[in-house]
Amino acid sequence: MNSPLTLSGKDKIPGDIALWFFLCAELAVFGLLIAGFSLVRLRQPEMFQAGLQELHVSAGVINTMALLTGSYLVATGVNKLRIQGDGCARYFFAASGCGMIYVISKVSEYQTLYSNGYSLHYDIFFGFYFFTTFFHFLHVLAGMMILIILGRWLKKTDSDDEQKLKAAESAASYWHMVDLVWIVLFPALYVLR
Amino acid sequence: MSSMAGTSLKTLWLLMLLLTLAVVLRKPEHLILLAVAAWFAALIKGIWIIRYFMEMKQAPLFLQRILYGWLIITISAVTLTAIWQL
Repeated sequence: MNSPLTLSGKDKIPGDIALWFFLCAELAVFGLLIAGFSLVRLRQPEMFQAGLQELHVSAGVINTMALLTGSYLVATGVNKLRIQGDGCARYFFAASGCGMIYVISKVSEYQTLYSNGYSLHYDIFFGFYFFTTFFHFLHVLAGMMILIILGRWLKKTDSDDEQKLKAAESAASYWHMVDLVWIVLFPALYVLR
Repeated sequence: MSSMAGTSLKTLWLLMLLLTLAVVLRKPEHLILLAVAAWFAALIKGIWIIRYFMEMKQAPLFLQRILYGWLIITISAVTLTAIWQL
């Protein structure tokens, strides 16, 4: 009867509880970066407006689509694992592939900006832009590796279903956290300008 | 049940893609309208990710409040500073 829309049990935390301390700490760090970005934008509106115009909306849209699709695949994989018990590894590999689309798009965006003379030290806006997005980029890379390791482990392991589900939910929670951060970064960088 | 849950997730995913495209393609001329649309779209996407993709519906209330609080504070900060530039 379990489904992503109706989990059984009361007060159930998906994945390992220790992971949630880490995820909350990660969200706090990203929250501080976003708060810093917003505060400096108030003080330097012209610089931020000029900087934002240099970013390509299409890159932001591709990144958003890739991460949302990855999240959908991860959630579907966890759902399949819960109901069928196997055959879900391909969803985690596919989600990792979506992460690769994000990586390629982001690297190409960095390359274009760098060739136009913009770098981490260009001004405060690009300092924030490169630092925050690169920090997020590293999280996507880590998420991709986690999903690949999870998929391979699920194919090989003889562990019981509960252990498999716990591992899958933990990896999924990390991936969704990365997606959640991007949901906020996307309008900040590509829409509100 | 599996296909029903899968359909729900697929529907939410497609709606999130549509919301993303709608804000970018049907970009309102006025910045305040754009800011409200972007705030709304990000909030809806964030809530769906937390509630249905992260499966936090049954999680302890304090953890849900941390996640929803983080989402509302960050997206509001980003939107309000953009409006402030008017």
